[in-house]
Amino acid sequence: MNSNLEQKKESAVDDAIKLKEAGKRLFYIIGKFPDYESEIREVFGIVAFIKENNAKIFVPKNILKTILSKMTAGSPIQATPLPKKEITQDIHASIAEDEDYGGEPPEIENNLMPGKWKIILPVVILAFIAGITLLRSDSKKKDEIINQHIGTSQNSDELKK
Amino acid sequence: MAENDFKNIKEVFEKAKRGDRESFSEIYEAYFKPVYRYVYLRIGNRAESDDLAQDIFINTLNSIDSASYDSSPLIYFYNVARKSISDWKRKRRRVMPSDENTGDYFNPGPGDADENLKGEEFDNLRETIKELSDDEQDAVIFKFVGNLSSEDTGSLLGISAHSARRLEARGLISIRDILKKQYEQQS
Repeated sequence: MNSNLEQKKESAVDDAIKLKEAGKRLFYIIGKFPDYESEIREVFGIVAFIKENNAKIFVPKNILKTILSKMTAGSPIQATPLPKKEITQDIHASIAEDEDYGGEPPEIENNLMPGKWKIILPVVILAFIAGITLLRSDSKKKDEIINQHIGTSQNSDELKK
Repeated sequence: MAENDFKNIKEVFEKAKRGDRESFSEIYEAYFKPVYRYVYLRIGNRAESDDLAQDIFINTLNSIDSASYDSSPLIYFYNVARKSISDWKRKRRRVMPSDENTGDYFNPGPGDADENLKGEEFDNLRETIKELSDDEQDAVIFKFVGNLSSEDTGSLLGISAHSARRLEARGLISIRDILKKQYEQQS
C-alpha cells in the first residue's frame, strides 16, 4: 500500500519533470498533478538550486599545470604519482582494513621491524638478567670459599697455639 | 557542449594521447570540469577528489577508442569515473571525512553574503545527496549537474531511459524528504 503510494508519487514527479523539460509552465504542471503540488514545487526548487550552483564548485586549475609540467612532447600521458607520504598512508590504511576482515597483514619492511624487536628485546633483557644472576652467584661462592679459608686458617692457628 | 566546438574530435584526442599539450589542454577544458564536479559530489573530500579526478582523466584519455570519440567522449569519461569511484569506495570501505564546509570549493562573489549562505546550503545539499543510494546519486548528478539526457544516464547505469527517469525522480524525492526532516528538526 505504502509502496504503491510512493510509486504514484515517483510517477507524478517523473512526469512533472518531463513536462518541465518540454517547456510547460509550473501552474500547468501542478494542474495536472494537484495531489502532489508541494512535492513538485519543492523538487523543482531543488533542481533549480542544483543547476544554479553546481557551476560554482571550484575546479582546481593546478591539476592541469601539474600534468602539463610532467608531459613531454611525443610521449604518452602518465598519472602524476602521489607523494610518498600519501602512498605510505594509503598502504597503512589498507592494512588496517585487511586486519578488520581478519586477513593476514601484508609484510612490508617498516612493519617487520617492530616484530623483530619484539623478539630481540626480551632475549637481550633475559640474557642481561641471567648474566647478573650468574655474576652474583659466582661472587657468593667466592665469598663462601674465602670465608671457609679464613675459618680453616683461624682454626689451624688456634690449634697451633 | 564544448565537445561540439572541436573541428575534428578524433584528431584532438589522438594528438593529446601522443602528448600534444595544446590538444590535451583543449580536452581538459571541455571535460575535466564535469568529471571533477561528479567526483567531488560523490566523494565530498577535496584532496581525494583532486587525485581521483586526475587519475580518471588520464586513464580515460589513455583508454578511449575511436568508437567513443564518435559517440560522446563525456559519456566515456563519466563511465570511467563511475567505475573508479566504485573501486575507490570498495578499497576504502570507510567513510572519508567530507569537507566541513565548501571553503574554497564554492566560488561565491566577493563579499557577497547571500552567496556565502548559498555555499552553506549547497554544502548541506551535497551531504544530503550522499545519503542516497549509489545509483540514485549517479542519476541525479548525471541528469541535473552533468545535464545528460535520461537515455544517456540510463546507458551509463545499464538501465532503460524509463528506469533512469524513475531513479532521478526517486532521488529528488529522497533529497526533498531528508531536507524537510532536517528543517523540521531545526525548527
